Amino acid sequence: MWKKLKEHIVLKLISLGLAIILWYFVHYLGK
Amino acid sequence: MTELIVSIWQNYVVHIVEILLLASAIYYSILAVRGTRAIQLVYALVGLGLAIAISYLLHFETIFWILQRFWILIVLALLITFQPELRIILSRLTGSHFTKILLRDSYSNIREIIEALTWLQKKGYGAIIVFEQSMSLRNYMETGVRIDAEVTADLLSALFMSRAPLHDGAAVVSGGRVAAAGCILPLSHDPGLARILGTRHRAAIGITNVSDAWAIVLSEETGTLSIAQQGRLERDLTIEQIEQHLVEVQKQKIEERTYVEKT
Repeated sequence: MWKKLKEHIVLKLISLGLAIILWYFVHYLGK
Repeated sequence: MTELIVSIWQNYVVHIVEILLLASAIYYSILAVRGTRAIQLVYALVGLGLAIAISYLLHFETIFWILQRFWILIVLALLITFQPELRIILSRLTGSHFTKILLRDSYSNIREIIEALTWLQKKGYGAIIVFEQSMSLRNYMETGVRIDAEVTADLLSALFMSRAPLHDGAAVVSGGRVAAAGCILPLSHDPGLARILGTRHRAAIGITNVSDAWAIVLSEETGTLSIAQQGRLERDLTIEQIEQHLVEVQKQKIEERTYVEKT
């Protein structure tokens, strides 16, 4: 149970990190 | 006041909302590709993105120029290569609603399958039965022998007896009939799988990695029953649990049909 929850939290953090990197590149470097 | 709200929205909130939407799209995409070969597609796309970003940041002008002009071709080539995996992802994202409509195993088939498995287990034979869903397994059926016969306990038992010529391959059940037997399936190369798992189990996981089919595996060595579904293996199941699973699948099929007929 805890292992699964941890896995999902890590996945969500990775997704958030990727989203921030993508957003940063498009907003500040893509223009 | 309105100007202040608009300014806060344009300068901060809009970016936060955009990042959160992006993050949830990435999160659900990762969930959809987990356990399938399509995860390689994600690695390839992330690698391409990183290559573009690094070449830009380090001022590798030639590499950046090439990537900037040809990235669309690279992405297209990747999408074509991973086309079967993308179909699975789409079917998972749509809640596999359409995949369930096409399930055609009947209750009488369940009895026959259970009877065959009980007999094979008692006699110490191994077996692998794959149940085709919305994605065609024609390519894999062609590696075996076409049968197109009713699902009967006698037929399934005969197919998997150790001296039978087709016992090494998988039997494929499609549209409520035994469509083919002796079929060669793609093996799962997941290093995380237990070392004791033999070729049958790896084949069962392999076929569920590349399609939306599911499979029952009877181990020749241990006589245990397992179910492979969406690239995962549920091991050491009892015959009652297998029957329960088959009934659940059948129930879902009926519910889906009723829903379709009503709408």
